[in-house]
Amino acid sequence: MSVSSLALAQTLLNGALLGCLFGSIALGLSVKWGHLGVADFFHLSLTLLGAYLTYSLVTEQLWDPLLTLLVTVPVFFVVGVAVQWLFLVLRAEPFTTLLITFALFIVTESVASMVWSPDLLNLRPRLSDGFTTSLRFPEPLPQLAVQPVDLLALVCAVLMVGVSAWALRRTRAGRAVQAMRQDADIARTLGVRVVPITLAVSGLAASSAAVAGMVVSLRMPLSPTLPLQWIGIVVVATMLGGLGRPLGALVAAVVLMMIQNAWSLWFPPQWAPAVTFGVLFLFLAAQPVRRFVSEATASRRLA
Amino acid sequence: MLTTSLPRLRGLAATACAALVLSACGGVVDDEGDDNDAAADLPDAELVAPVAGMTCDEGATPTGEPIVVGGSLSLTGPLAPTATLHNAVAGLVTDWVNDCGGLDGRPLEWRVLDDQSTPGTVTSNYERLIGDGVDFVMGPYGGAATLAGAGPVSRAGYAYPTATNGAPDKLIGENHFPAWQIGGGVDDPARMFDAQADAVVAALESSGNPPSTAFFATAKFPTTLSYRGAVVEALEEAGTEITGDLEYDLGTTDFSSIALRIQTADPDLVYVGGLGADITNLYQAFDGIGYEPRSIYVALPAPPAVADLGDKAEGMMISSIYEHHEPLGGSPVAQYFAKSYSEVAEEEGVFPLVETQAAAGLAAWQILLTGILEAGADNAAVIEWLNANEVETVVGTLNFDGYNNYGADINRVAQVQDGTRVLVWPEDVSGAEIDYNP
Repeated sequence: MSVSSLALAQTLLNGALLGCLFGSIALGLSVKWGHLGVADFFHLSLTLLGAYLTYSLVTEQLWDPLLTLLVTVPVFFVVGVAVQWLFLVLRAEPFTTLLITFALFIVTESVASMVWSPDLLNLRPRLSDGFTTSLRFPEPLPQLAVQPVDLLALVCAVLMVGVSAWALRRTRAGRAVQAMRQDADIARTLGVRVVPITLAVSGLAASSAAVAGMVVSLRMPLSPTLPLQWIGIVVVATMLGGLGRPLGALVAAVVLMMIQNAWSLWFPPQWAPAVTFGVLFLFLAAQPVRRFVSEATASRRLA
Repeated sequence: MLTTSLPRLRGLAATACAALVLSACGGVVDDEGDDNDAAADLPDAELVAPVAGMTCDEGATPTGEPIVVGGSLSLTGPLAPTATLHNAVAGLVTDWVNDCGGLDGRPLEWRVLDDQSTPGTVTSNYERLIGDGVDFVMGPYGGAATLAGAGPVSRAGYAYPTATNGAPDKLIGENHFPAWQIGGGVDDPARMFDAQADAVVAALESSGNPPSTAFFATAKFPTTLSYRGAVVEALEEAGTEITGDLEYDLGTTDFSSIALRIQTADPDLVYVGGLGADITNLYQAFDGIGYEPRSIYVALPAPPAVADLGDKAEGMMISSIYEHHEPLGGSPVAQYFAKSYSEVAEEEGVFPLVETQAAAGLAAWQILLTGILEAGADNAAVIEWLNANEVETVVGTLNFDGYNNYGADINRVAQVQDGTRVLVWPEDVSGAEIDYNP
């Protein structure tokens, strides 16, 4: 099948922009998994709840979707703090937190069904043309187009991931988080206030779910089972990008979606999700080889 | 003193600009949605008996032991959007019968258990309901669930009415009474989707402009794949060239590559073997590349997904057995059901207009209620009576002859015309002629 280079460019562009949305969702998961040791599946549920809350505020209060963040971000911060506080009170081991967040993931689906109904809810028909009309590239590429919602996903991803990466590397609090990750007891001995920082990181991760949820509500029809459609790409991006590395998760999500879309352009689209997991398999399979090579290189240097 | 570096200021300025640009996208349009308006426009209807042969004694209070009907429905999980609708219909019918003085004077009671969209739970739910001594059962929603429930229901000798299920070649038994079976009118278990495929082709040919080329995009789901296979064959026999045929994973949200492949082929007809919100996501991808399909047929879309497309859905063709208009929608039963259902559905948060699923739900209850009225509250007698007689339902007259009691073919084709879904094939139930000229 012959596919023009423009079609390829368009599909790669679409994949990259959708990858930004999944990268935004993966941000909170990556930070909590990498720095707090919590593989937080409830983060996906929070994203869904953020989308539903945005939907309700937009359709019932006629708020601008961006303004809904004034409510959802602080509320989700509190939820994130509360969940992490629960883990601290329970002195939960990582495996226990995994079970608890998975249970919350399942419960949230039922709660969303009860509150918003299991039927499809679509915000798109309520949005003004400014949100839904595609924007054409200027000459010499007028055939390429992007949707404003996808641009919003790009901006949100760049802002959230950029600020997270910068804060982790450049601020005292960020360095404290990194120290906690390496050894919480020693960090505490050296004066790092572990509990407040842990709660704050969890709250901020949950806040990022509110932002990602807002974009989700604009981007796709909502149903309570929607997170099951993201879970593969988000978890794989989190792992490929390196736990606790926001930029890595974003880049991985973008690359994965571009690969999926390019695959679907030439090959049977039903295999696209398998490609994602195939990439993860190859990545994991390559780790022993990579470790062997790096150890061999190090010992050669020592010799 | 607060000091701020220049790069930080630049970052803040860029963020503020981005926020302003995005805000300029605008906000919401105060639009309540056409589906809600259409439901509000339904005329008031008088209370009538839900089935033929039953008298409606409004104001009479049913007395005695209730007739309990138990059912397993997927109130949570991926099947919940449609199963919730069937639960709403069950509740409505129960109230309806009791408002009419009950079934032979006895109150009707509906007892539902959630199977969480898991077939294994369906089996245990029916075992539990039968163990609890329910008088009758109503089938679940979905092919796998229907098959899972058939074992305990058939072993216990219960009648097994079902609304819709997509397991047409699987033998359930003489106690199975489907309101809509895709394999209706077909005798060969290997050709169970032929009737529906023939309906699609006949509808297109009735326009006088059948498609020369067609492109198929189908969700990886047993019913949609079988349906697609039969339609491909039928269209090829009718002389249509298939220019593309691809499958996508269930739950796909990004259709941009598929949309590009359709745009490249630019067929007369795009056949989407889609479920749920697939059509919404596909149209979003079409919007993204500025492509407008010449014509489109969708197998099993969620009703709100079609309604939310607004003008873009104009001319879209859909598999159907019922749309609310004359002649099927003109009966007093259909009128009362449409009005009552819109109110109940609003409360439940499901699509408020009666279409295939809600109508099939009512028809399944009409089958059961008619059997009880005619044969008494005894499962063996009901099974015997239903196997020997026809039943008048909202979707037409049903019989339970032929393979697996599937009865006659009631596969129909609807089209969105002037913003409303209307049956366009076959002629005896159509509300308008098909408008098709790709």
